[in-house]
Amino acid sequence: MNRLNIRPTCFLPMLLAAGLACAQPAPLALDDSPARAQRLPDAARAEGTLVFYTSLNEQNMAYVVAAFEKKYGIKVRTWRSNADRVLQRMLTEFQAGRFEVDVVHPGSGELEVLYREKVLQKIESQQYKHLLPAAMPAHHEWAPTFLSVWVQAYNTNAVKKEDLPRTYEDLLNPKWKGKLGIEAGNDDWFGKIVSEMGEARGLKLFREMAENNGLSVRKGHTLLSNLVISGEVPFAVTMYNYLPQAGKKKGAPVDWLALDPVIARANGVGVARRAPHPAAALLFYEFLISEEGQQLFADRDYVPASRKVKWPIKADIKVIDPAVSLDQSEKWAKAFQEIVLKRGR
Amino acid sequence: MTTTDTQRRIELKWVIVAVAIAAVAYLALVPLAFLLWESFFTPRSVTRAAEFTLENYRTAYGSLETVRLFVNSLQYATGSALFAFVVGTLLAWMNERTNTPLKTLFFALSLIPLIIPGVLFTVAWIFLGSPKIGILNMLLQRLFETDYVFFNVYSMWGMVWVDGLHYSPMAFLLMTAAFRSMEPALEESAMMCGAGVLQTLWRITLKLAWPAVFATLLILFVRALESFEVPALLGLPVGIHVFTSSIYQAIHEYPSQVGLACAYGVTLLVITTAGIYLQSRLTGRGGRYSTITGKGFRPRVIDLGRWRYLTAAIFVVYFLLIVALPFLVLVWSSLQKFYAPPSLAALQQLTLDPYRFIIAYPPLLPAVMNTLLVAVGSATVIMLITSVICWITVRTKLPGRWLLDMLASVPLVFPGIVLGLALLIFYLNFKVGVYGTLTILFLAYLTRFLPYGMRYNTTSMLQIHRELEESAMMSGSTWSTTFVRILLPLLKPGLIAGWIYIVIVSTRELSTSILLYSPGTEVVSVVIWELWENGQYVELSALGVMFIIGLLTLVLTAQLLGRRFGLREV
Repeated sequence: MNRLNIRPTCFLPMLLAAGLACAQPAPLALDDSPARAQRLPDAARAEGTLVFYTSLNEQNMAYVVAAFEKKYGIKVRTWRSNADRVLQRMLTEFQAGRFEVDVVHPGSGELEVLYREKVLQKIESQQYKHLLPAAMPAHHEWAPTFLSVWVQAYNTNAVKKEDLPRTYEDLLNPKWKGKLGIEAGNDDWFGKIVSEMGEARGLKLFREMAENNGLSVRKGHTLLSNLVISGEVPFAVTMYNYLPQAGKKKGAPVDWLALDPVIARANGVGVARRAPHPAAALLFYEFLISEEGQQLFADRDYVPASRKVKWPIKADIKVIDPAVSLDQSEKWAKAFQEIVLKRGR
Repeated sequence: MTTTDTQRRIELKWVIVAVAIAAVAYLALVPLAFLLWESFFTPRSVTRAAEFTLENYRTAYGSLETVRLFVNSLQYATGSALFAFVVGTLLAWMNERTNTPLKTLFFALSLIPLIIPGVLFTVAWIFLGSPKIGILNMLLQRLFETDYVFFNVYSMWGMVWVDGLHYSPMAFLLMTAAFRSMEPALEESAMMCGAGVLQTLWRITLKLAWPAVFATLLILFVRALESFEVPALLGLPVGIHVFTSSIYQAIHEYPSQVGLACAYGVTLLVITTAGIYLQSRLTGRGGRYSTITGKGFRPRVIDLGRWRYLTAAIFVVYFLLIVALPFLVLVWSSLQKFYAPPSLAALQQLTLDPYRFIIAYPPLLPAVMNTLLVAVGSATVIMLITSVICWITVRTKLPGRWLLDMLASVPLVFPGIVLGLALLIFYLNFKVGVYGTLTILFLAYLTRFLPYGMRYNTTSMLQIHRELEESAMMSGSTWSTTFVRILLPLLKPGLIAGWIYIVIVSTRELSTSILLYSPGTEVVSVVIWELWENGQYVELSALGVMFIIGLLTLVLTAQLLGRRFGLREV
């Protein structure tokens, strides 16, 4: 793994290899000319298959993957797990020198870790100019596909429309006592929103909310979403936008709103540095961030990263910078724990 | 008999013993070494190699916070273990030692709580016992016209109740095995001398089953200490945090603090080791607990007389109030488009869509096949290996044999994710073609459920007096013949109970599987997790209902098959 640890004996061959690499045309990943777009499908078809690790919702992912498979005739072997495990598995495989995965699709936090651990490769693409700049990392080792936007969800039987809050401050009103819920792992949301509000004001707001009205802490957005639908949690302060939207479509008594500032985390895609199917991997990467792929995400109520596709939500969205979030993770995890988790009621 | 014959026979015996020891050592030592080794190292990343450190232990045990969490965990685990034990034992006693009517039916029904996937079981209890929308509270409030909250699952008692109930089938199975192989002579003498039924149960039956009692409590206690689901769903909303949350927190950080998680895990290791050592001391003194001897053993039940209607009534009440309730919540949820508390309006919305969805769900069938293969395979192999290991720890005088028992029991303490990581790293570097196949899941389940097989077999083995084997040997039978023809049939109650338990829990195993499965080797628990993550609660409920029916069929078949061989009432 450690690339700087070069012994003198292998130095010469490496120098030669580097020289050869320079002599060749720019590698496929860095060549964003139209010529690549033309020869990529054939090269990918010759590889025939690719391995894909993702933390994305099974049904929705299957929808996107099926469209890609149908279009190019390339078989995608998907492995799905939660974001933590996607990260662990990929890093462990790399450290053991087993290069199985081609494309990875977790949250931006995990992608940033993968970038820092040097397992992704830099890619240039014509599509980048259409993607939301705030979500696009400068190092170009991964690209955003859609945003997980945090909204507020409520049970329409338990909360009347005219009672809905207009600002976060409204949630300090005693009428919300015992009605608020929050997800247990949202420390990155917490860090971003408190920073946006101004640290002193933000911390004071959530401290008062938790102390006076109580925040019922629930593990997992899907659990929280089901509990909102059942009426157990009348109002969820944090919820991924597509969950209540899906419930609403089924006719469940749930709706959502987005209080300012609206915070989002990007989800994105990266190609492994040692991808065994480099062309297929690149083709899939391009597909996911293309207008066509982006539309597929929008079909499933996600907020696509591309500005060429219509958004299902109208708001000034503040996207979490995963690098900042990663560097400050300890601080915010601690604050979230102290203010929300420990006082939650 | 010629000398070469004897030699060959002796060799075969020691070959089998050596193979069993080697298998257990291999399965247990890989994750154990990983746990201990990692606990002394900093996280490794590309930029920084792992370094030796004692910091993990300092962080883990240097704060009052850990003590506070541990006290919560102790309360929770003690409560849950005792509750599960009392419920499971009472049911097992009524089922095995008495002539309660309808009891054959109750055996399979007693297992239902264990079959329901943990998350569904806990959520069902939220829907039953939440102060806000709990069906039980709503009914009682309407009945007495009050807003008094009768039940609150969000409390330490609620957690103990839900977890204890969920694992009472484990106590039930272990104690069933113990009670089934019990010779009634002593109980009958007690009754003759005028002891009542309960007095006999307390003074004789439980005393005779003492190794099983101890083993059951130990394994229930350690499992509850290590459990995560119930505290996360019921404790978290009211600020009750437990020890295991620290382990998950540590893994979740970046860089992942695996070492810290392992350092926390060492506490569980110490507790389990102490428990196993105590048990080996307790049971070390030969045949004190053997009830199966050469003197005409007949496993006969106690005639309760008219009291048998009372025990039958207890059964019925237990099933209606405790087993059927969460099951009915599942059935109710599985017939809706989304969960709504029972009402007339909701009644009109009933649909079979969730079942249609599940039946047509493409990933389901391959996952069921994989799960069946791995669950049945690992349960069978574990029960056979541990029967040999038990024979060594119970019958032989090998020095340090309690260590062998301990070795087979330590996997109990590994948090699922740590075990998953240990196997992941080991098989990635030790290239034997296991990684990425179903075999790695098989090995993971073997490791994870080895301790259960050990406890089930040990309790049964302790009840069999060595004189039966000795007479077989005297009659010229070889060790392996004795083992297969005498020991295994007598062990059968424990073998079957343990087998059923492992099959059920391995179909539910998620924390290790989700890291170790690969494209093409999906298992049912992963499908369940996916449905849950997709927010498809009603579809998942439908799967849960089908799951219960499927596993019950399997259990009933095993029971019927089992009845054809081995112990029978005379």
